[in-house]
Amino acid sequence: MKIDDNNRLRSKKRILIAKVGLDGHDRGAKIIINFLKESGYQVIYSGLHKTPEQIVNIAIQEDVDAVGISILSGSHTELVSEFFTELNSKSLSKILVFIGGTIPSYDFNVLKELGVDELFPTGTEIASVLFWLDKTLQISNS
Amino acid sequence: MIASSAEDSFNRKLLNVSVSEHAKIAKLITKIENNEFNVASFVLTQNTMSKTCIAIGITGGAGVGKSTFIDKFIYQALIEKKSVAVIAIDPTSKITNGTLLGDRIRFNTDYPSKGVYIRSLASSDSPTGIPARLGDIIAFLKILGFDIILIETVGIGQSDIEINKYVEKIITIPSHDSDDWVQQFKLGANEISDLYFINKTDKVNSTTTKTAIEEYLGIKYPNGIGAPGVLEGSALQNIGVKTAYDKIMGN
Repeated sequence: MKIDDNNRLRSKKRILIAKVGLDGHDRGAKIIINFLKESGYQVIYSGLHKTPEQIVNIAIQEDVDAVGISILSGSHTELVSEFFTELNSKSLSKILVFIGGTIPSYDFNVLKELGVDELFPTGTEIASVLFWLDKTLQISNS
Repeated sequence: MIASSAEDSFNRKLLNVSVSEHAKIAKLITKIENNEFNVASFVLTQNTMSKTCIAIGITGGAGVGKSTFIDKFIYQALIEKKSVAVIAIDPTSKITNGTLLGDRIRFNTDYPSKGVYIRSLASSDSPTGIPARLGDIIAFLKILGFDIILIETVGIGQSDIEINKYVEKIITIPSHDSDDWVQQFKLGANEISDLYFINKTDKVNSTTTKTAIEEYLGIKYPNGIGAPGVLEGSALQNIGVKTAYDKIMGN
């Protein structure tokens, strides 16, 4: 892989990948972290078992452009709801939020109504995460 | 570029900022990194600098325990009611331009959220591993009035001493692999260290590392005057970090 113009544009953008709650399944998070890093992004990893409040504090202190939360515990609705309560009270600017993991399709609308911008459930092609981030963060992809 | 009036009033709001306002601090550091905020002129608008602030560099090779040491160092600082800012630098890939900012994984102690501000920085295209705007960012944090600023360097090699230009004190965490005397005599970090913390004594026998460092220091400082201290401990188990804290802070 070589540095191209898109990598240079991405290298100004900061993405937090976070694991929330009682959930130690971090292989998916690690795959995303490495893929985004190799694409040129600055990727911050929270480590395991963070509370929604801790994740918001990290996102705020690090001034990230996007937060990706990986959840495979089934508690996504409660945790994401808490996350947005904190985020909305502390953030000074729009931060993109995407969720990955074992999220059943019948919960998609609930999560989107809470404020989630995009969902990448188990089985997602990894390139589609990059494609969506590039498009939303206005990295030229031509 | 002419700022819109909305942007202008956003900037004005940011300038009224204290050490506990992490969202504003974060926005301003991003602006410093992007050359959109002039720290020198900010100094003139602030009426601080009356407090004493110490910037401490934490340096050492990859995986020696710099982040874990900082985690416990922060804990000591909070006991003494000091406000702390941490700048954790990680290397940017020269192949892809991407950066994994992974130091956060080790900052596990549940500090009170207002007391500590932690920011990860990419080394970007700097050949020395020191981000281009680090000096301005440290100056900015000092003006805000933090008591202690900790700078975690990228994992360093034999000749990396650039951090010396930016901080008042340096703590080196030696690698157990440089327990041969000649490695210690060559090491750039040995020319700038104020204190050594030999880490992971719960896992590794540190005697040979300590002997090698002390042999070098014994020749450099024949009377022992001004020689940096050599401490042993385990940051993970929080053994010895209080001693290091007291020593570097002059307690």
